Amino acid sequence: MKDPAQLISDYFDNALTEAGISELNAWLNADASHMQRFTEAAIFEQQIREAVLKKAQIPVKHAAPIARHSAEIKVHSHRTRWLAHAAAWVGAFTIFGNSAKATTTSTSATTGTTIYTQSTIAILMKKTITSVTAAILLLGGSGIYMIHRSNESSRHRVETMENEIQSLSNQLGIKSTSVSNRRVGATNAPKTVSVVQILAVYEGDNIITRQEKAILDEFNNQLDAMDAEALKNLLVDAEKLSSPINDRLARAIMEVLVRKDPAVATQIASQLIGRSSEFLFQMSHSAAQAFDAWLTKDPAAADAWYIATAASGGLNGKSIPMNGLEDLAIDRSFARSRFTTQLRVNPAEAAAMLATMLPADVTAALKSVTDPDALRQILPKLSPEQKGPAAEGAIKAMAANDPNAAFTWAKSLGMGDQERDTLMATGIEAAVSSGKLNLAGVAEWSKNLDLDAKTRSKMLVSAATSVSLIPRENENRIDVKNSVVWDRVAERIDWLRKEAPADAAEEMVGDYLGNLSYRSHNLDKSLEAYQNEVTKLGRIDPDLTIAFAFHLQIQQNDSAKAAALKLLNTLPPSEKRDHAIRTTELNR
Amino acid sequence: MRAVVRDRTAAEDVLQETALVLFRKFAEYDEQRPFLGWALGIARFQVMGMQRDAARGKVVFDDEVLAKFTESWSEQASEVSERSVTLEFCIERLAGHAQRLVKLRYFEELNAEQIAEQLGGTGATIRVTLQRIREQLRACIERQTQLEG
Repeated sequence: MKDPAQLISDYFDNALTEAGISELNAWLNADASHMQRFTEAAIFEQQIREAVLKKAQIPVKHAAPIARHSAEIKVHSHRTRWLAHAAAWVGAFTIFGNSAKATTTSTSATTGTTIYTQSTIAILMKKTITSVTAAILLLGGSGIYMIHRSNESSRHRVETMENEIQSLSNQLGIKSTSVSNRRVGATNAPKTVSVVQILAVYEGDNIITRQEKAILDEFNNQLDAMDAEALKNLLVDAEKLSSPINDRLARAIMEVLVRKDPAVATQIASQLIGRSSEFLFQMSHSAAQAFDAWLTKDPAAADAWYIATAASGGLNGKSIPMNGLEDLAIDRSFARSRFTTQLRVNPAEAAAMLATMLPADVTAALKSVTDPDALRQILPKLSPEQKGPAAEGAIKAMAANDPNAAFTWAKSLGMGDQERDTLMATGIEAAVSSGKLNLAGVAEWSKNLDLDAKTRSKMLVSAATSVSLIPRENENRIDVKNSVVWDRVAERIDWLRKEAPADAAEEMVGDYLGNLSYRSHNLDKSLEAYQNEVTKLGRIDPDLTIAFAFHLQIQQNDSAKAAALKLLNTLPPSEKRDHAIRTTELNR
Repeated sequence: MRAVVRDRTAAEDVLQETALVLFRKFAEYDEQRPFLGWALGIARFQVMGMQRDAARGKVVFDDEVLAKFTESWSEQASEVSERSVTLEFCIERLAGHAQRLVKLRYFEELNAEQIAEQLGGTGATIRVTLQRIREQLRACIERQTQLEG
């Protein structure tokens, strides 16, 4: 049984396998306190999400009756509309549940949507916000939504924007319609809509009426009808709007512009990238998307533009706030896109590009390489630090299917002896793990490899572990009793001692037993196997014991940690032992 | 929903469907009973309905666990609202790297492997770090609660 804390943590990090989920279900069913603990963790998880979303969202001001809740009232501009819609409903129901008689509703004859009057909203929002929050929290809503109807504050802001954009609308031949036309319940959506209206819809409540949807659709149609230059101008002017949610407008415009003319989209987005607003942040994402589209459409032109722009310093100071967090220079983002494109058409050029990229970008870019021939061309161009991850990924994939082909490929790469043999050791591990190579094969393939002691030990322990594990018949179940061939453990240990580099044997045995304990979740059996080795040796070997204890203490399992400490305390004091004890205690 | 449905999009789908059912069934709601329990009951049946749909097999829990979870959540959720403000404060207090991790995990909804791709490291190390961050946040909340209390 996995440690419950780890089980819960893995669950929330989406790291549980099907077997883990079965374990979790069984654990939750076993005891009411388990469920309580899990629920507490789930609520905490949701609260973190809420807090992070709240921090990242754009506040929306409200009229006086609800202003005192303004700190909690946000519109999440990144979420789909219907989610907000649903969450708003849920919030409303909560209130209605408490004060149904105090509120009034009406149903629009034209839209069929329940409408809340201004006074109703005020009443609703005077109720404790906690009940709304709780309801949304309960149903998993992401963010605190509210019913935000037309009010004086937003009307004033819309009017300001309307003035700002008047000349733009005229310039583009778009009829500038009054915000009053979008009042809920008004009939017949206008056939020509303005940016003002769109912003008002974006900014308005979280309920999209059919009329508002018609406005959005019409706006998209209008964007579709515009040429690239007009879209570009619209984008530039949208940036100047005082609306705090003009980034949503930017997304809508860029989506069409990227489709119509990715070159123009790339260039204008690259120019606009900045940090001072959500709009400018949005441009960094848009630029990357646009450049990808441009590379797909016309790689030569896109590449030429990039080279010229980079050379002239046009990308200097343009950082992509990736996900709003990690700053990545836009040329790094562009470089990864160029690499992916070049790999398809010119692996040699791709290789040359990789050599100039930063290690983190290389690692990310190389993950897309699965073609051994392409990789063969790329590897010679890489630095020693870059070669390892690239070649390892490829040989693991190949060796899991055909070890001989993988080893032949490794030999064809023209690497140095030790570098090549280290790569082959990785291939051997993968081949054994996939059942394509047995221990005799490992001994045969590895006997002439030029490996350092650490690499050889790791490979041998990995191989011994792999052959000791029983493939699961049912992926949904961990069968603790039948996950390891325990009755052949002694035989594997003998093999390890025979193949081990000088002075490394006992530590390897400890690693091996620790691996089995971790993989099987069977502490008792692994302790029994350890005791068998102690008996066989006639002494407690410090290397074996410390290595084994190390694997026990990393299990995040109280019993395993306690066992680790107990074993370590059987050893005479030494620097290595004392360090292991300190580490284990710190990790408890 | 996010706690019982693994896939974010699927969870949001069920949320939407639940909201719709709540809307349709609201006339049946007995005001004498707790609203949250009623709403959660409907949510649970929505999730169970999804679970039976093999094509959308994204639900984590079996029916029995789901029922217990719903009940447990209903009991606990109302007791924790006060923690939100403190939690925001504690998130602010996290170190820069930890804040980035938290944002990538909870705002961008990236998994550990995806975060590792962006920040370096492995999925396993990211998961361990996230777990430590959660523990830090819990400890911070406890400290703040004591200070304020």
